[in-house]
Formats: sequence, structure tokens, C-alpha cells
Amino acid sequence: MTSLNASPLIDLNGVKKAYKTDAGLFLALKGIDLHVNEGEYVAIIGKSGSGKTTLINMITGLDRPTEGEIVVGGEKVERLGENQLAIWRGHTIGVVFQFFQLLPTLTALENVMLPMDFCGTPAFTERRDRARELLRLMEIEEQANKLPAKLSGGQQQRVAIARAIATDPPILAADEPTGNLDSKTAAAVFSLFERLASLGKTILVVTNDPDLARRVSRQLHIADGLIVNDVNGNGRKRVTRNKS
Amino acid sequence: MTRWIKVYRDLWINRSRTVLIILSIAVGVFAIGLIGMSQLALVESLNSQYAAMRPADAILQTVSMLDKDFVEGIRNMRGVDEAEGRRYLLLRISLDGKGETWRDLTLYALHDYNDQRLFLVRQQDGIYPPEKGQVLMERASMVYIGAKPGDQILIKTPDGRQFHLTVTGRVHDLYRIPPVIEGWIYGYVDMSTLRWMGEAEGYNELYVRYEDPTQVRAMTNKVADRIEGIGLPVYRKTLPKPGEHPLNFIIDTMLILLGLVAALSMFLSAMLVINVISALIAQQEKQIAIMKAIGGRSWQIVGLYFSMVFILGLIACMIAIPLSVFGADALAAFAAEQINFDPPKIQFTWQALIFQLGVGLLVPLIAAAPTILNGTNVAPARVLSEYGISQVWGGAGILDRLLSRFFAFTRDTLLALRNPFRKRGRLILSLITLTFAGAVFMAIVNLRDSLGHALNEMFEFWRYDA
Repeated sequence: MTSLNASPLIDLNGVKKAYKTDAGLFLALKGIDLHVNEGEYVAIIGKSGSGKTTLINMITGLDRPTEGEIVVGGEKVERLGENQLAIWRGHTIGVVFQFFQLLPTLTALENVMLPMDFCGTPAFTERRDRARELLRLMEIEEQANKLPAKLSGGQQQRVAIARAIATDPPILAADEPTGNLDSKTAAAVFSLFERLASLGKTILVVTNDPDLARRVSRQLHIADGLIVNDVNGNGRKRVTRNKS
Repeated sequence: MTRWIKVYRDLWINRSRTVLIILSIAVGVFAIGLIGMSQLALVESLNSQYAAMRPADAILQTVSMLDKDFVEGIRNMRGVDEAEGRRYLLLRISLDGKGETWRDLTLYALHDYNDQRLFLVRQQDGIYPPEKGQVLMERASMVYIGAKPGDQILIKTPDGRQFHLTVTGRVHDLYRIPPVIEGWIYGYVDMSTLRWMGEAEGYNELYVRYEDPTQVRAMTNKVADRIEGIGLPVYRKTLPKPGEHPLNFIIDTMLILLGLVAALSMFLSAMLVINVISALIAQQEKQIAIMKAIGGRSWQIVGLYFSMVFILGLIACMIAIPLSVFGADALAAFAAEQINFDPPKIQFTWQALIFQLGVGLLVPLIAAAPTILNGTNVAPARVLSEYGISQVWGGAGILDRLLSRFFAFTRDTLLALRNPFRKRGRLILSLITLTFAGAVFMAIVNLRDSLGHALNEMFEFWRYDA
């Protein structure tokens, strides 16, 4: 799955992120170098406040780096304007959040169709069928016409995953997708990610759960804004590249 | 398509809020349409009806000794277009018919009702022209005294002689100010009634119309010279404003006041729209960030909220525009009744429709634009991130320090006091709206009370009981 010779799908070079706070400047990322190849299933692990969410926000273009370069799918993310970012994100990367973040006034099916509507893909007549197909893939098709409030946390997260892959992006980034779920449901969600990884998606998952993290092909350990450990699924250490 | 479902559901789920905004915009659109349409119709109708009665350029009052020949002489003067003489009598009329309550009455006597030249008195119903001992009441006076055809009215001359006249019908004299405004009652008789009453038959009022409207004053002086030339005094020269009914100013004043209320109402609607939309956007900040995170472009999201406001405005217009036609009809009828002219037919024009749509759609859109544009300009990471460095509220500063001095306040009281100051922009907007609405309300109530108070003081000063 991983093509060693091809250029990485996700490429971060010297990425720093600083926040101004009342207490002064807070450096959330202190110079991250990271390369993720197509098809990798990566877990980003770290304690609260270590910088893992900031890192995923940089990769998804939801936030901008203070310094450094981020190239995802050949696009220099930090150079894109707001609208370009939205278009790029719609086609390149699906995002899953810890608190599901489904739109409360839309049904599960409509939530999945919404990114298709924004991105204009697939064709209008195919959207409903594709959304149903994705909900089927997430084993939640029977809940298609329910509003999020009527769904359990696990069901909402499945809908959120279906929504993230609605426009068939090559990358799926999930920020603590199981943080709000019980262990059984969390395991089921990770199984879904595994299934998507087997379908060729590149998956980045932020997690605090070491047991779940063992199920991925690569683990990135973050502490104090730096990648402190980068290991393969088989536990072999990879070269860690940080610039501090 | 799916995003439009969101717009629909957001509006439907928050029905009470939706209805509130729609009604608020509708009130403004209704008021503006009502004022606009009735103003157009009232001014146009009053002007045309006034022109149709052939108003004189000058009214000269003298003793009742002018005759037909004199009037004919004035008519033949160079620069005079038309002239007519009439006899008026200042009398008293008993409203109860028993001589206990008296009001002012002006009785006009026309030489020939079928050969009127100026200030035409139009027949409404009843026996026309009136015969000896009969009177036609001006239609507004008829309503005022509550008489019916066949009723007898009791009148009294300045020297105390009393007569009974039979009301036979109504006429319409647009020039006379209705008794509801002036308290003066008007009746119309023929010369035989004057003779029967023992009154002189000569004219004491001369109406003149000139060929050149710019020479009214000079020509009136010449006519006055003629009257004085035969040894009669000219008591009064009245020069009505050309083409303008004497009560035109009432309509103007009324419409200006109502127009101001309409504009204020539209202003308050706009403020309410800003308030509600800013509350909605603050509430949906997370949804906006989500939509951006899943590929929604700024213009698509901005479009959603603008469409929401547009739909609200459109529904408001659909309710308000037809109602404003009925309202304008009712207002015009009311104003026409007060001024005593025939109610105009409200014409629904394309211009009025476009104007109302423009107001109903554009004002809310313009009002909501800054809120929508600012509110949808959120950075998704700031809103969605739970790590939340930027989510911490820095406190109200001065307010916090002030509150901290009051040790008696419990934590929940402090929280309640601090909460409104979190969104200062919205707080200021709410305060402006409430202050403005309150000020308008209080101004109207105060004005009414002050007027009542001033009138009471005035009556107290005059100290009369009847």
C-alpha cells in the first residue's frame, strides 16, 4: 500500500504554531516534520495539550501554521485562501470530530449529503444513493431518516464518518473520534477505519487510547508540541524528524 | 439542495422566532405601503375633487347688498375669469331641537342652484334645489347633527328670532371645513326662504376667479375697490391657496406623522432582524465551522443565511403587501371622511409593489449583512477545537473589578450579571432597540397626556361650563 519512492501524500516541514494568550505566547507546535504516504493508517497519540489536535488542524487546513510548510495531496495548504481551502478540503480530506458535530436539523442521510452539495460531487442524481451506500457501509442505513438527536453517540459517529468520506476524499482525519464513546463502540469505530484503510484511504486518527492505537499501521507520539516517537505498526521505530 | 433543507428546517424548528421576525418586518412593510399608497391617493384625489369644484381665487365679504348686476359687472372686468355672489347668514342651530343646546350654523343662500359658477355645491340626495322653508344640510354637518331627511331643525337669528326648517336632503360643499374639526354647521337654502325669514336677499360674499393666477392679489384689490366704490365696506378678503384645499395640511401632517411611525417601525424591524440574526449566528457558530470543515465555501454559507433573511422578508412582504392595500383603503376612507371628500380608490401600482418589496427585502438584508458577514467569517479551528486556548473569555475587566467589591453577591448572581456583557455588541444593539422602542412609546404616551393636560389647564383658565 505504501509507496516508498513516490512523494508523500502529507508532507509537513518545520511546522510551528503559536497562540497568543493572556499569559503570553503559547507554542503548541514547535517545528514538526512529518511525511505520511498514501494508504497509511496513522494514530497520533499524546496527552491532553500535547499538540495533537493542533497538528491535525494544520493538516486539515482548519488552522494555519505560524511557520513552516504543509503540503497535502500536492497542494501547499498554508497558501490557500479560505474558499480554496474549502474546495480543497471537500475533495481531499474528510474530517471527523470528537463530538460528531452533525448538523442537528438535518437527518443522518442529509448530513451525509451535505458535503456533496457543497462540493458539487457526485452528480445531483447520485447523491442520495451514495449517501445511503455510505450509511450501509457504516452499518447504519436504517437510521438514515433520523435526526442526530435520535441517534446514540456511536451511531452519530458512524454518520460523521460517512459524511467525512461522502465526497470520496483520499484522506480521512479524525480528532479523537472515540473520545466520547464507550470502549465497545470505540472498537467498532476503529474497525470502520480499518475497513476504510483497507479500501485505500489514508487515515490519521488522534487518540488517547493506547489499545486502539495498536491497531494502526503507524503511531506518532506527541509531547509538548513535538513528535517524540514514530513507530510502525509492528513496533519498529521510524526516523523521527522534529525541528525545535 | 440539502443546504436549503437546513434553511427551511432552521426556520421551521424555530417557528416562534421566525414568526416574530416575519411579523416585525411585515409591520414595517405594511406601514410603509399603507402610508405611501394612501398619501398618493389622498393627495391626488383631494386635489382633483377640489379642482372639480372650481375654487375661487378670492373671497370678499361685505354687507348683504350686492346684486346680480354687480356680480355681472365683476364678471366682465378685464382679468376676471368668473364671479359669483352668495348670501350667508351666521345663525345658531339647536342640536336638541328644543332650544336648549345651540351651535353655530352658517346658512348659505344661492340664487340659482343650477347655475353655480364657483365653489360648486353638489347635490347628494333629497329635494334639490330646496324650496321655501326647506334646507339642504352639508353632508358632514348632517352626520354631525344626526338629522334625517324630513326632520325639522330649529334655528335662531342673532336678534333672537327662531325658525323651523325642514331638512330635505344633503349637499356636498368640499370647501367647508367639517364640523368634527371646526364645530361649525352648514346648511343651504334658496332666496325664498331668506324672504320668509325676513332677511335681505343681497349677496354678502363674492367669489372671484382670475385669468392670471399671478395677479390674484392685485386683481382682488381692484374688485375690493369696486365694492367700496359703491359705498360698501369690504370686511374680509380671503385668498385661498391656489389648487390646495384648506385642509390639505391636515393630510400632510397626518401622513408625515404616520410616515415617521412607519420609518421607526421599519428601523425597529431592522434592529430586531440584526438582533435575531446575530443570536442565530452566535448559536450556529459551530454549525458554520462544521460546514466550512466539510467543504462549504464562504459564499455558500453566507448565501444560506442571506437566503434565510430573504425568505423571512419575502413572507413578510406576502403578508404585508395585500394587507397594506386594504389598510390604505381604510386609512384613505377615514381621512376622506374627516376632511369631507369622496374616498379615493386605492390604486395598486407596480411602483408601490417594487417599493414595498425593496423595503421588505433589502432593509432586512442590509441590516443583517454585517452580522452575517462577520459571523460566517469564523475560523473553524477556533470554534471547533476543544483544547480551547482561544475559547477562554478574558472577563469583563472593569465590570469584574466592580462586581468583586460587592461581597453580598452570590456566585450565580455574579454569573447572571456578567453573562450579558460577554457579547457586548449584541448587548449594545439590544439596548438601542429597547431604548428606541421605549422612547417612541413613551413619547407618544407623553404627548397624549401633555396635550390633555394643556387643554385641561386652558379650560381651567377660561372657567366656563357651557
